[in-house]
Amino acid sequence: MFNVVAPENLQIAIDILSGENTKVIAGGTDLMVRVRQGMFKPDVLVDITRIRSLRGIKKTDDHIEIGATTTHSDILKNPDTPPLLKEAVSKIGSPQIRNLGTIGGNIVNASPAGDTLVPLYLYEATVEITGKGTKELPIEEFIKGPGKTVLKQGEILSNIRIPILKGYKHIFHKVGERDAMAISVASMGILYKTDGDILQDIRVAFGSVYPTVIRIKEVEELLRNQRISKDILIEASKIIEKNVKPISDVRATAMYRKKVAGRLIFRLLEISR
Amino acid sequence: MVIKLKVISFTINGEKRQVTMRGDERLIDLIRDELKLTGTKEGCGQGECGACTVLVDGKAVPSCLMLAVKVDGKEILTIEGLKRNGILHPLQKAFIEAGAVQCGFCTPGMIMSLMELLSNQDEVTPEEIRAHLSGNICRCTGYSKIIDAAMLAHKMLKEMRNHV
Ligand SMILES: Cc1cc2nc3c(=O)[nH]c(=O)nc-3n(C[C@H](O)[C@H](O)[C@H](O)COP(=O)(O)OP(=O)(O)OC[C@H]3O[C@@H](n4cnc5c(N)ncnc54)[C@H](O)[C@@H]3O)c2cc1C
Ligand code: FES
Ligand code: FES
Repeated sequence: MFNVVAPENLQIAIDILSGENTKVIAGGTDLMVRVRQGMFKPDVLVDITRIRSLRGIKKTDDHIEIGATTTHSDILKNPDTPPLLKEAVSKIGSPQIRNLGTIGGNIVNASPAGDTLVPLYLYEATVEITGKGTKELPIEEFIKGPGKTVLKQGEILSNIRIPILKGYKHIFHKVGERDAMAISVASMGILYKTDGDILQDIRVAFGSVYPTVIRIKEVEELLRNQRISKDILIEASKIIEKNVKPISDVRATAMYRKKVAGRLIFRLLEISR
Repeated sequence: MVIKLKVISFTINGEKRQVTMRGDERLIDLIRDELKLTGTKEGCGQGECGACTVLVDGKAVPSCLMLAVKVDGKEILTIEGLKRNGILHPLQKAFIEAGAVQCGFCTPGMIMSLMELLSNQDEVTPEEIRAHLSGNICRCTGYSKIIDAAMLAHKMLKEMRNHV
């Protein structure tokens, strides 16, 4: 059993969260399942969804800022949402889960399969932490491992800042057991920019095949300023298989995940057609 | 630890209510056990099946994953709230007419999900309906009759709109 408080003021929320055995609840789509399975027994849950300043999407000259408690549905509806993030969010759970679940909850979960993380790593987003003061960190430094972040007791993730990239196109592919509701077995996101048939710039990241989402810079370097061909993708595929460190679980074996990750890069052939 | 009960006020199916709930109780507990509105069903209890779908401020949510105290000040619509003056809602009529109900366990959730979609869109395709129902599982019908029912309801709602 636990109590729930729902302050409208951020500072009050932070003060309560400094207490022992307290925890943030946003949409609750992850936390509720874990609390009900008895994996976690909080005394107090602090519902942060009534804090206005934590919700909504703003556009500045060079960034999109998303408040931590903005729901996946609101992100999908907003015309300013970066396209790769929009596509990844559209693959989360179901409409009902997207109506409740928030981007902040997805990030703090720090699941290697977290669908917002592949785009956020690729856009090189930063996250704002609010506690006694505020600080900003690159997403890659915020996430420490499966289920682990740098957040300390009394701190919350307040805001996400995504640099606006002009002239980039994207690919996103999520491999799961079925289309809806599936936690990914492997996923891949790519941001790229072309000049004729040359890849001027490319960023590649994978989900579910490593303890965190992972960018593979070696592949990016290999493909940058190159023309896409089957041969170069075979080489890229080998580098990917060498870099990923998947686990076996109920959804797939490590070997299957490694092979799938390696094959996904061939999606790039589409852009040369 | 002292367990505090919380008084919450909300509107459900057009009626203002005030109840006292524990922090750890869920919206589905409020709806089924406290208010005795048993049309809403609990299947998986984990957000996977959609049987418990209700609308909160017009949005379809799994009531098994939402804390009851979160609806303080909000508006809830359940399957019981669709009937007007004893007349079934077009979605309910369409489900009967299209033969989209077998055991009926998934039906309230299906209809509430479709309420969200059809209230927000003037035009809708079978593909959009399928996508919107991706969080609702049915063990009986094989879904095709449910899609038929949704398209029929859409047609009925459109005709009603054109008459006013
Ligand atoms: C049926 C089902 C299907 C799902 N499918 C997918 C899927 O396809 N892809 C996917 O990525 N996820 C999926 N999820 C997981 C989940 O819905 C998402 O990760 C969602 O974004 C979590 O957000 P939330 O607001 O509900 O988090 P909550 O459950 O409220 O919180 C999750 C964790 O983050 C903490 N937290 C939340 N917000 C903050 C904050 N601002 N600051 C500090 N800590 C915070 C909480 O304390 C908790 O530990 C699924 C879940 C379910 C139940
Ligand atoms: S009972 Fe809520 S989604 Fe299954
Ligand atoms: S009619 Fe039986 S589960 Fe759908």
